[in-house]
Amino acid sequence: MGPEGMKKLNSLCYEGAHYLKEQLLATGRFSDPFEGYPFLKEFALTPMCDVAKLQQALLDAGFFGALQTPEGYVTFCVTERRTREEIDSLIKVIKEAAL
Amino acid sequence: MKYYDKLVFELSRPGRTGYSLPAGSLSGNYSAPWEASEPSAVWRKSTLPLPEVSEPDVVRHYTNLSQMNFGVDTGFYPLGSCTMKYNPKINEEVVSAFNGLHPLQPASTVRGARQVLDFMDKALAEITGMSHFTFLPCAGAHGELTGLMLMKEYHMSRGDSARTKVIVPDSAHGTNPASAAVCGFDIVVVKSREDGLVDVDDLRPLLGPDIAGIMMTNPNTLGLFERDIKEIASLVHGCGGLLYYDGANMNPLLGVVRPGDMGFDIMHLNLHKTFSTPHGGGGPGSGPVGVAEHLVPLLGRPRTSGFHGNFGVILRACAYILTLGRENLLMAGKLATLAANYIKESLKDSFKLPIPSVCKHEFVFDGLAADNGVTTLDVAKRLLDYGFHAPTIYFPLLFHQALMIEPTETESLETLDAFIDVMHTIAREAAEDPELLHSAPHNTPVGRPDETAAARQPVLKYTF
Repeated sequence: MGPEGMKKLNSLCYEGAHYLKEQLLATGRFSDPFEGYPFLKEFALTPMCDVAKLQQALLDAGFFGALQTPEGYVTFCVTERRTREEIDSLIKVIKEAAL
Repeated sequence: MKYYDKLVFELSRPGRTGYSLPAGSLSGNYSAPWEASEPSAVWRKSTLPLPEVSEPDVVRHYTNLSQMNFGVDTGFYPLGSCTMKYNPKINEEVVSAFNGLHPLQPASTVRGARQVLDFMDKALAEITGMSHFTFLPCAGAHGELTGLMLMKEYHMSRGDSARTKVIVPDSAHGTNPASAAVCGFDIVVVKSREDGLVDVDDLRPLLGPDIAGIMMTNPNTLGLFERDIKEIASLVHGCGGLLYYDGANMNPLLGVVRPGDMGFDIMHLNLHKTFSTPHGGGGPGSGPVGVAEHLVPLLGRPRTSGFHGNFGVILRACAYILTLGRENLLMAGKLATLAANYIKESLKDSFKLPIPSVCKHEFVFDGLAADNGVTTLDVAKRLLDYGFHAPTIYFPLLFHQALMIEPTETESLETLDAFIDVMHTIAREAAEDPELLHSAPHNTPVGRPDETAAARQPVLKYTF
């Protein structure tokens, strides 16, 4: 990757993760327990829905996410290989699922 | 071997790249680009000190470096005690099918992986005579530590806290006493007899209410089968101790005899050795620990690693077992034993054979038969000139000029004969021109490096 490649890679992760977080919060199914704290490619949210149903809805649609931490948060992560279309379809699943 | 001594940093040119990232950016979808959105205090201040190279630069660099290595894919590797058998390439294909798994996935989505673990538990139990295995340990010594923790747990669960000592034969692998010490046990050494086997008469007075157990390899480090194992098991059990089997030397026993039937209570297997997965250079390995039925309730207690250990190594071993099948697996140990005895008998006139009895998978010479000042180190270095990896040298410590040879079952008769011819040639050279051996190797990219300086003053950092 070299120095420039690593920086660009990280930018893609950063932008994707921040886009995902913004969209997840917009669904109204999560709140942000760490508002204002910097993060790179992964983050934790407080779920305001049934986590088991959320995870199953994601799995049924081919996503593996919303892993629960011991504190009860759910975590998401975006790498440089994920596209905006994929993030949008994940959001669509969460918006439409009966949670 | 081709000489190549470049560092990847020396190939670096400003602005040169070799990466390909998804086109575009998510910026615009997101409220602000990242430089504008985070406080400057969290930004990296310096540039990353990484080389700037193209893809062909990287491929050629590491291919050239790999050609400076000797491996089982380049030649015969009779490194005693290490079981450097050929690693079938189909095992790598099998692993690639499981590459996408995440260890936190719900169980319902990893049924195939769980089936592999269940199969391996049953297969290893059948092969060894144990009842069940844990796959947590990531290496042989890690397995030893896990097994010893189980031994301690067993005694403590019975309220017996007086068993603070573990017996280890003087021919044992160094990791045995080391693991026992790390686990908090004191070490008691039992002597070997002149024939290389554990001296049962020396063992008897060591046994008592302070003995937690004994650690043994069978065949032992000299490649000899401990014929008194049933008596040893009876004595150790009689004093309330347990028997731990170090599976480092399991290869010749495949299909012949099982540690569980010998009386061992706990054991580890080196999947990376006996079941043919690439190893060396510190890993990756897998040292699953098996126990007899009476210890099964304790098996999951020492959590010595996360998830299921090195799953990729377990998968390769699974592929190996299924590829060979019962019939061929039964042959592996016998062929390994035959190959070792063939080399031993073919070379015993040129090299000192301190213990002449039939060996298992490996055996030990004590240097050259003729005393002409040529050492085992000289012989090992000269072997490199002829394209063979050197055997293990100066181990075990029982013999001053130890040279330990383990051919494994995967070498052809032609390869074994070629090695034997070269060893005879080296013995002749030692008699006719000792200096040729003292200064060997002559055909390798590096001769005799200053190993002390390399260990004490290593230069590991590139200065920009």
